[in-house]
Amino acid sequence: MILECSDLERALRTPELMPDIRAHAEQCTACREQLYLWSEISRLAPGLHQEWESPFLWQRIQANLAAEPVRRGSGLRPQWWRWALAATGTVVLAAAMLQPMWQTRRSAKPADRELLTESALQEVQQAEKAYARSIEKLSAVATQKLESSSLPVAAAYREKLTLLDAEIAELNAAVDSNRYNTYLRMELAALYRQKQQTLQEWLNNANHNH
Amino acid sequence: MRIIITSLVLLFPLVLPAREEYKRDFQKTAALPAGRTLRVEHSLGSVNVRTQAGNQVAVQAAIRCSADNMDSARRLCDQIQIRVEEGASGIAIRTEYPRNGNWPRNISYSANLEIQMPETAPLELRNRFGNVTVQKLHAPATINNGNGNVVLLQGSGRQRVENSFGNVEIVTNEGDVTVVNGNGWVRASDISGAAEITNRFGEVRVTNVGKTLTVHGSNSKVEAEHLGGATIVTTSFGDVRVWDAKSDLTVHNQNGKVEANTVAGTADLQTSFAAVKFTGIGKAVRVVAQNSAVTGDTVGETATVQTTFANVDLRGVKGGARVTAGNSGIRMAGIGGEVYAKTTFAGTVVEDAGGPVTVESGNGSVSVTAKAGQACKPIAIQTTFAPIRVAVPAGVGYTVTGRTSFGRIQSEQEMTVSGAIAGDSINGKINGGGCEMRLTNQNGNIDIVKRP
Repeated sequence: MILECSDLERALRTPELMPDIRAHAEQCTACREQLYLWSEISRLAPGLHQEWESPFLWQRIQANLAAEPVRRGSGLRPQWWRWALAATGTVVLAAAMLQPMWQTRRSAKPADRELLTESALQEVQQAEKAYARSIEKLSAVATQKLESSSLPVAAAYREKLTLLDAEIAELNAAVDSNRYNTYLRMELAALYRQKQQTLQEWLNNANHNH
Repeated sequence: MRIIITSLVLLFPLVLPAREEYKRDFQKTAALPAGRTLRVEHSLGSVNVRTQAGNQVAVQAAIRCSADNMDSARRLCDQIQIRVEEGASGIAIRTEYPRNGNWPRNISYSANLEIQMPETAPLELRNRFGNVTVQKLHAPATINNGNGNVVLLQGSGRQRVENSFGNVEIVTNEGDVTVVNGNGWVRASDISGAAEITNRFGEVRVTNVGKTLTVHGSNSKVEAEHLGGATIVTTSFGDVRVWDAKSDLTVHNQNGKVEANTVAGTADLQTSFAAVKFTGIGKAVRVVAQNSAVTGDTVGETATVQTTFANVDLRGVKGGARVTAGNSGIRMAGIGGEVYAKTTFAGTVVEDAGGPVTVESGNGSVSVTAKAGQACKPIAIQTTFAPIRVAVPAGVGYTVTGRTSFGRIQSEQEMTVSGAIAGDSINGKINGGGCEMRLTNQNGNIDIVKRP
């Protein structure tokens, strides 16, 4: 597929287009700089992450909810709290969206917690689903080329994917009886990431060779 | 109201039912008589082994469990057992988790082990789903791990590490080391004995190995430096770089570059579809490659290079050099001994040849310059459809036989011609004759010039 700089955002949203946009970037300085900036942002973002305890957040929201009809009736209609709540929601949304990325970025380090909380598990499961979807899409594109190729490099990729699939199955079995175990979840995420990277690498390789 | 609903949706993860977590600590100490082995069998957590001079084994475990309520978490933790069994052969530490059948699906658990053991007791350790660290063990160890990293620090004795899906790092070991890894990187440094490293998918980096180094990689990049013994590297789809090997080096690669820098012994380098570079080889070098450019210099003995479809550039070989290439240009400079070059469809340049020169070419130009300040050496050149140019020092004698078709023969050197004079063949003597110079061409000119 022939992509241009204008396709960069689309490619960043669609992992299977990344090999093509990278190939284009090798020839295009402007596109290469854009890609570099994106990769730098991804690299630096985890370092900017901060967490803080907010044990009374929900109580405050409940209190505000309870007070809402009175305020409606009062006619004063102060708007600031709505904006504050919206801002809080936005921060939480951003944190929820970025959390899987942070978790996978940190996967090489020891886990801070041995066992996940319920909300952390939800986020991890969402991240796993996102990986699975991405892998499914990549597999749809990559598998046909991979299976039909007689190149030695294709055999190596097939071997690695078989190995990863076997290990993912084994880890899934372990996770099934120990769902909140942080280490198992991190290992599983790392394997999904490796599989995703392997498929992307193969696609990149296949595009260069054909 | 829309803002509130949106915020509630966003905050949904924060109001999920809370889980309760319970932690139980376990401690036990037992004596391990000299010569007996410590065996550890663990899973779902890390194992950290330290050593001490005495004969005591001290085990600490941090067991964590989570469940919907504290009572379930506590009951679960109480059922996780760390067995410390003393027997005739030594001490066995085993972690037993409860079977899942009687427990709800939403429980979870892990256990981390901290072990202090006698520094001279052999260790056999198996772990799954966790990292392993062993420090300052002065006895043999066999470590088998899965889905976790393994680190061995400041040990001595014969160490063996098998791992899958994790990295292995060995820092300082007085003795031999064997690593068999599946999918992760391997690093080993400051190994006084021999090191044998096998890796399936992951890079291997080795520094300071006292004796033999053997690396069996597949799909692995390999970097090794400061090697005291013979080094053998086999891999594919990864680059191999070796610096400062004090003995012989053998690299068999496929689809990956090979770089050898400062090798005191011989170098046997093989690859395909990627470049080969070498410099500072103390003894002989042999390169067998396919579709690979070969660049090398400073060889103490002879050089033999075989490749196709990429150029060869070879300089500074004390002994002879033999290059066989196909569809590839050849450049050889400063070869002290006999020169042999064979190629097709590309040019051959030989400069400062110190020994006899033989070039067999087809459809490629040939230029040969003999080294100045020494007695004559025989020169034999054969090619087709391209010119031959030979430069010889003034005052050195040659007996020349030149033959070509559809070309001309010219000489800057004064030549006494014997026999019939024809444009396409010549028999003569330069400076009264001497070494044989045989130049055979088809459809190309022949020029004999004075070297500057």
